[in-house]
Amino acid sequence: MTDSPITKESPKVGVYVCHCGGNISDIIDVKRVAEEMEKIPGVALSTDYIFMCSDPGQQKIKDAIKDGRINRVVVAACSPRLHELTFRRALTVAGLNPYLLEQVNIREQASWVHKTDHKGATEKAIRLTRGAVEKVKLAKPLDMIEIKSLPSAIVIGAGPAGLRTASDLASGGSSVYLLEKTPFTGGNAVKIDKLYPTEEDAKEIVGKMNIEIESNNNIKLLTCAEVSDATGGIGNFKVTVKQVSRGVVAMMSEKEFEDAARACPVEVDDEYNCSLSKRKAIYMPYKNAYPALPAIDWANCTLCGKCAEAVKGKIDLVKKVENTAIESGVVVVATGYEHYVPAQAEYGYGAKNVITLPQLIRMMDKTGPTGGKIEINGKKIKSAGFIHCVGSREIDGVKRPGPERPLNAHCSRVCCTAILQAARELQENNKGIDIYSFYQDIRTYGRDAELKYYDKVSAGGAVFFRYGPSELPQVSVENGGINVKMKDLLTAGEKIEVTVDLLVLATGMVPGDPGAIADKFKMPKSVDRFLQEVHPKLRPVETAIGGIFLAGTCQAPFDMTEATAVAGAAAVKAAAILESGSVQLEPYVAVVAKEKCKCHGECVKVCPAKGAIYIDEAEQKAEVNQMLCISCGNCVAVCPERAIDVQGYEISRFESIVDEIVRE
Amino acid sequence: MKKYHTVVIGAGIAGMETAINLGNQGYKVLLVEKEASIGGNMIALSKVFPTLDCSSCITTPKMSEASHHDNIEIMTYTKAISVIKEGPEFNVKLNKKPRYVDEKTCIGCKKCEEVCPVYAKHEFERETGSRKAICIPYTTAIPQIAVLDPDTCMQCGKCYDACPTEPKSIVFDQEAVELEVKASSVVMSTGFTLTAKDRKKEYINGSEKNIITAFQMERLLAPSGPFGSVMRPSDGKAPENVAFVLCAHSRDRSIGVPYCSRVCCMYSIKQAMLLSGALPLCDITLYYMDIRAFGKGYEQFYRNAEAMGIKFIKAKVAKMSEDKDGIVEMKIEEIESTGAPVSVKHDLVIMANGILPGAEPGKMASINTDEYGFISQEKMKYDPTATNIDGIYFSGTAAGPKDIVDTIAEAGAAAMKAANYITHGAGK
Repeated sequence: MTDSPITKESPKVGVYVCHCGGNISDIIDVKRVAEEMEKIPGVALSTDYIFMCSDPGQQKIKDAIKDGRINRVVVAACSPRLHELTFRRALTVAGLNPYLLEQVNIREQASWVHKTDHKGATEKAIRLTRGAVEKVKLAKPLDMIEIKSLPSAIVIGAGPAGLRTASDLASGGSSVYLLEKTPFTGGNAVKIDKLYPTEEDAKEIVGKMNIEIESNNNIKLLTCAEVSDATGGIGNFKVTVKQVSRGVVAMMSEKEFEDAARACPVEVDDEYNCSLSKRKAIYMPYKNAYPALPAIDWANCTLCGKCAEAVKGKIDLVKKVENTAIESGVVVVATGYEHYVPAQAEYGYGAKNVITLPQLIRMMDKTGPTGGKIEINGKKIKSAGFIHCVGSREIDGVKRPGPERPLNAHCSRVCCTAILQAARELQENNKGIDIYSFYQDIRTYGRDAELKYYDKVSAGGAVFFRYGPSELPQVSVENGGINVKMKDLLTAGEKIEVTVDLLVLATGMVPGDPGAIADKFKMPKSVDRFLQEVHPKLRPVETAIGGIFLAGTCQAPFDMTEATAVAGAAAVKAAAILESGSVQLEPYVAVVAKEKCKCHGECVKVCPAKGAIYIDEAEQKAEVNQMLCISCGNCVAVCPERAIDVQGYEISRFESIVDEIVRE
Repeated sequence: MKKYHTVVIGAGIAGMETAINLGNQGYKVLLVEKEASIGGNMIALSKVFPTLDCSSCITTPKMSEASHHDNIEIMTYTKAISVIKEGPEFNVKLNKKPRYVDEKTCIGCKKCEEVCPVYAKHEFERETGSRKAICIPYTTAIPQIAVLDPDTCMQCGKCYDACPTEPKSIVFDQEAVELEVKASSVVMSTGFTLTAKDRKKEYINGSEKNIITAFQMERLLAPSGPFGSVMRPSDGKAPENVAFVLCAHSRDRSIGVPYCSRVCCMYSIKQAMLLSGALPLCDITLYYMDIRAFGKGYEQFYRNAEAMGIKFIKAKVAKMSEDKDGIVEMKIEEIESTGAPVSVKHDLVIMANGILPGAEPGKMASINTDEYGFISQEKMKYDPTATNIDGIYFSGTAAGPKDIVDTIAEAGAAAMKAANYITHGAGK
């Protein structure tokens, strides 16, 4: 441990009270807080400043340290979550151990929550800061724990985001395990044959990324692979991957695949075509899917063996499940989203010619289930209606079809543009078609979306009806006609009724892989159930678990451009760890006072991080694995001998805080 | 000629984040900023949606990190003139504008600022406040070095006399310096600017005082702003009935900004919420075309604003005029009630200006831009930060309006691309 001469001196505390521009000083009398601190023995300097986090603010601390006026620092400001690192860095630069800092939160915990009680807030700030002063007096210099990081990454999910991250990392020289739970890459994106606004085929874009993956020796793609267990932490993740055999064991020509598929007697809904067509139990979603090897759908295969007979030596119908342990320094989660599936009869869902937007997109694909035709009884449709925000922007009590499913309060971001893109294509292909849009707000925010789709569809004669969040369109299906009734806000609440040939429900994005990955890695979720970042601006792709990053729509709805940008950001954060080869961890780990330990073993029982505390059988003492310790303090609480402390958060220091806070 | 792994042009949030990401991987970065301080537009915002964090609290640590980073060198008050590709590398020509202050000797003591007798409109405060002819750009500016504005300086010499450094830091005959550096890669993060206040004549004719821009409102709401409170410019009174006009300069072909500026709905809702907190008795109305709350947590933020009692009226404002008492009359169509054209009156109006490119990235380098001057996303769907030239990438609003969250994601992606180009590009 570094014990510079400066910290052997008696504590000379410098107290800095931040105005936070006014966030604090509008409510709290910061000058008084500073004056009160001056009275405490051991406080050498106490002052206030408009923005302590700014350069001049930090300079004040540095100057006082360099001049030898102070050797301990208290900053009374915002949450340490925001700026503890900033101030630690200032201490380090000035030559003081960064753990001789105490940041006390008088913003979130005082000024923001006691806006109307200036006097009370000031009093509270004084007490909190007093506690911090006493706590910092007992602080000892600590060093971060440095651990080596493995030079590899695990990327979970091989949709556009996962492919982007894997390719970026591998191109930088890291080795990457890319896990995909289905047999093929591309995720949901490959179902879209025309991406807005470029109108490119997602299959071709994903194809380009597939080539990047295939041509890079640093990437190992594991398909039909799921995470079954995960342990370890940043630098050293240990992940058990459950991989199911593909069934198809050798390359097949197109003809061989056709023969095998023809021989298969099983027919199931084709998820690639959003259940609009059937496929066999040996399948490939589309022609250039990657890897270019068909797969057996084990859930539906009857093991009749007819396919294996049709193409000899290429199919092995003995399903093998292999558990492989892989290790990595970082993990990038790119598990994507799922389309919301409406409840039966929600806006007429389930009735003939009431379809979802993803289904319409499949139908408009020339290689799709209807060959690009949108017809009813062999005739081109004459009218189509689009209901926006199905399964999105829900308000409790109004729009949720049942209490058993969680509320989707979020906007799904992509649907408005996707609807108008589809509507424009219908207008172009079905001259004279009547398009009706039942919407709340048109959110064509993208660079070309407004002009290319919204304006064109409007100019093409589409009629827009606006519904309010509390009065939703009512859909009834009678005599083959689909009837939509609603109160149109654009005509001052006029009741309208429209009959359409085809009704399209713009189903939104909901979190994919509900909970499974989050639970395996103990990652927090946002209120909208998507995976949660630490901070949307400061640390947007990092999770609360060190070394785990988010890429793409597992975090929030995005279009493909946005998802691949986020994936690049996740890659750069992961690369910074992999390239340096080491990780610095906070020194807040449990420490056992060996002389006190009587080996009761209570600590081991309550430890939630497997292996972080254990009994050294030879010594008969508790021992801590610093790399695994998560600083929870459970062991501290249960030790009958009080032999354990979390360093930096010793019980004695908490006692000193409490004493100061309650002191009259 | 000095050589860097990457030259990042523009030191707003996009450029700083790009530079930090590259620096953290060990690459040497030159971060070039045309203004006197790094920080860009974001440092001037009050609070940011949807978390309502104070913007300074998010931006200053990034500014501080960029400026103290071992691998990042910063040049402020420097314009990028040209970026020319030679082989796999780039020659970047820069023009360091005269600051009339010696950056090496100035200690940021502000003595010059104190004695300067000239008051001028403060650019950082978006002209809601004033500054001296010589000043530190703003409280949290980095670097803390004074800058002299030759257009307003009357050369009285008081600052020179007050300057305590030896030799004196004020250099009246400083000249622009042209310099050239080499870089393995370039990232354009040249940012945005807002449409001029009077871009739409139906709204502003010249003399209106109580119709202000969104950025002016940010400064009025900012804790570090000029007055520390929101007041009507005409008489300094607290407004009682405020209107926000959304799409004031966007989605409007008549003024050449037909696209959606993407952030105005959210920043206007945020401003309305902050105003409602600052002046609880104030009536607040937002006039909007569509509420585009599409990002993570944005819809929920919008619903909270409604629950706070902020009124949302769907209407595109046709015309505004201000009477002698400073009351603004607006002509709107009451689409969702009577459908008739009506007049409404407010005592303060905030226009949600549109977003324009902050510089001319297409003129600095031979990269493709769209008709508005935003950088074209050549491989939009799978390599979103690429330009048409390998080795030149972009991040943030240089390629079109976007919010801070999306900007920061792009900054990461651009840094990753630049890093990989440095590793491989030179050989290809």
